Amino acid sequence: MKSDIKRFISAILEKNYKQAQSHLKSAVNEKIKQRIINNNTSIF
Amino acid sequence: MDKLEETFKDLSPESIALIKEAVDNKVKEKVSLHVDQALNEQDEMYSNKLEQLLTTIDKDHTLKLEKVIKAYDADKTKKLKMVIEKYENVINNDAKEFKQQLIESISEYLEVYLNEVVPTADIQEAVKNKKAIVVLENLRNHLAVDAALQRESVKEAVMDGKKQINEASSKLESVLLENADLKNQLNKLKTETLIESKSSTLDDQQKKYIKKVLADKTPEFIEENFDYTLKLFKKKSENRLESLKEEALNESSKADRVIFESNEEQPAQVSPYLQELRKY
Repeated sequence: MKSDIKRFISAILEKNYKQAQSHLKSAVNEKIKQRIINNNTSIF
Repeated sequence: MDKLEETFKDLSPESIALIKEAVDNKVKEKVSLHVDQALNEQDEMYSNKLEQLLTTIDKDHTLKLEKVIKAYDADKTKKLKMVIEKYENVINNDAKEFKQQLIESISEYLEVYLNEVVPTADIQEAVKNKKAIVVLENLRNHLAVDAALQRESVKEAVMDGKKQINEASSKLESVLLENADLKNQLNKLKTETLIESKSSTLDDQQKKYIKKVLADKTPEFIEENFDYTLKLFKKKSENRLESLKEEALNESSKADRVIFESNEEQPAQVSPYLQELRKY
């Protein structure tokens, strides 16, 4: 997740916005997964 | 001038004036010559001195400028080194720190944003609807089986059931083997019966050939290929007879000629054709 954000910043600095969008999407997906896992563990 | 006037008091005032003028002119010429010479000497001296002075000043200025340049270089080098160190420090430490902070900030921002956009209740509902239900169902089944198995009566029944299943399996295996054996025997009998019935009208040689070729075949195969096998046998027999006939004819013509040449020495030869015919 942190690595995705790192790649996102690097892509922004290199003005590679398409790649940046992809990395941001991965980071958001990871965040949502993390939230689901956290909720899952709280349920059990 | 007073002495000159006293010396030339006998001369007329005009003469004295002329002499005076001439003397003055000479004096002036001399003076000007001396002055010119002195000035030339002075110029030369001053020129030498000025050259020396300029050379000295140049040397001094050169040395001073070299010192200034060295000092300037050293100062600038020191400052540039400081700039490089500062720059490297900024690149290696401050920028990394800033990047890390930025990553943390973006991460936190994403969390906050997702908390707002995707409420926890929705996620919990999704989890309940999909994964949790499946997992709980599996757990329920697992626990139910465990509870049933923990009772003694159910345990015995399960053990007995397993034993019966094992016995039935072994019986089924032996019955299957027996069934296969019986099927083989039945097929053999069927084959023999079929061959006997089909070859009842044939002679012994044909019967023998048919049995030899079709003994280990299935009844269906025999039904399909009996006539073909018989035809094949007949054709082979005919071919063999033809070839034997030809051989016999050749042999008999040779034998006649030999007998004619040595009639008493050679014993009577039996034709191979006749020998082959005797076999049938």
